[in-house]
Amino acid sequence: MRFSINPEMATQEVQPNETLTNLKAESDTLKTKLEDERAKLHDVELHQVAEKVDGLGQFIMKTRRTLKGHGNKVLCMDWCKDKRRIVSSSQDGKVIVWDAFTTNKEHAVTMPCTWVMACAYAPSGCAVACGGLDNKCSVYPLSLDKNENLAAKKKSVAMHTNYLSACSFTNSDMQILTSSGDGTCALWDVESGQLLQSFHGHAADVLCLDLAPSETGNTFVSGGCDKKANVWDMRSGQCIQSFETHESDINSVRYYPSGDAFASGSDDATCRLYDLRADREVAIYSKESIIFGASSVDFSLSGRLLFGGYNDYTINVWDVLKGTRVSILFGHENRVSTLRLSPDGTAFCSGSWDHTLRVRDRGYHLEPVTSATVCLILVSSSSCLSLMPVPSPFYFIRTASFITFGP
Amino acid sequence: MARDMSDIDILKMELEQLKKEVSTPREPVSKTSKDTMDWCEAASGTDLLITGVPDDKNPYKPEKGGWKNIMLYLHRNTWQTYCSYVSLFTGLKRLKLERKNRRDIH
Repeated sequence: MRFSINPEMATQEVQPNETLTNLKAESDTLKTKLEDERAKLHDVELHQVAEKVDGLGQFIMKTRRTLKGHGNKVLCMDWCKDKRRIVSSSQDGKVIVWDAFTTNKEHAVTMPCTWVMACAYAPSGCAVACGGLDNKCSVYPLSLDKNENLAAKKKSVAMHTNYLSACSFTNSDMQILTSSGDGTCALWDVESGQLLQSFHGHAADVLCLDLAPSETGNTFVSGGCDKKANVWDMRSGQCIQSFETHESDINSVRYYPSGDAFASGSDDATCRLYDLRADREVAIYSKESIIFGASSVDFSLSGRLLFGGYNDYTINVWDVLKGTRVSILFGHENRVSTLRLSPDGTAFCSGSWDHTLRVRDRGYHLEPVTSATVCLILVSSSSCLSLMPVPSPFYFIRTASFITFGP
Repeated sequence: MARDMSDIDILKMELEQLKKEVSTPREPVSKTSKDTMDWCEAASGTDLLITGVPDDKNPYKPEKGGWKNIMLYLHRNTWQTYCSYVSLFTGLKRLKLERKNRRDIH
């Protein structure tokens, strides 16, 4: 009869729901147990430990170069190991290699797709990798001959089932690590295009990744739309540690220079520092006045400063140890999409949706005491000058000689 | 691929991961924070964004001229500026005395 319920079907429908709730309950209990284990070792805060460290004082950074030439939003950039060249990619499909010292464009490649969200410079400086909405990662060898058509020598390395969000060469030109909107990260061999290892564990799009800094390090960290940051072992493909304290998508992750911690920037307008050995979040960098998400983060060479590019067009510079904001950098006219420190740490470059990239370094900072002294001297000397009667030229020469040669 | 996985599969994956993570070795935050801080302090001497780069070694050296750069140059040589102001002051004082003497002589 039409309305008879098939008993087998009924049991089949009930079982999946039960297992779902069971799984969820088990997962929640494990999560609380994990939190308890982590909380046991949380005996002190990082900024308490860092109280005796000197403060940084006034911090001024100046824009030294503005790289103009992209026709649309700049989405990603990377430095070359020679500390001079920069590769940047934009929404209109253009990938440009710049010389940061002279602001000249050295190479320009037009990708067949738009929204090139990932680009990376090879460690040797001889190739660039880029990818985006075409679901692939393509490697272009750079030649010294400017007239040569780079697109002809393109090599497709990675194949994902969704957009490519980030890519990075490992220590050599031969292997490339990619992350994609399909929720996986993968390690590829550049020559053969073969998949060497894939990393499954994210429940949503993976937006960013960063390799551990040491030469022998075989781990990398990835952040995704599931609010999780996972640390992976490249050889085994296993997720070693996972952190889920952000309240929104993680847009950017970066390892601390020592390799024992990493920072993440997220759409919840905070940047957080996670310690890998303590297996927990140790610092949150946020302010009530900052309500826009952080799109990219990077550390300075010593790890004392954390630069965060935000969607409110600014870059906030945080003191990593004390947890306070050191400086805000203005200049971009649209959201800051990418930010990287140069390999020698002298400058950092930020790319933005306002079609430009800005290279900034340390401006000269004025300490309050000495500037007050200078003002005092100027005021006192100007008051002396007003009392002075008009001298004859001979005496002017004498005073001029005093000024140049000192007392 | 995460997008193709059903909710159950995602939960199973998370559960397996959590089971592994509960038993990872951990160190107390006081120790690891101190190590991080020590590393940072040790490396801060080489951090050019904190110590600054002298103009002659800075490839992004700012252009010469402009009143701002003159003020910066003056400030940087504060002691020299101070000496020059002191010498100006003493020179002017001597000027004053000599004019006075000349007047007295005349």
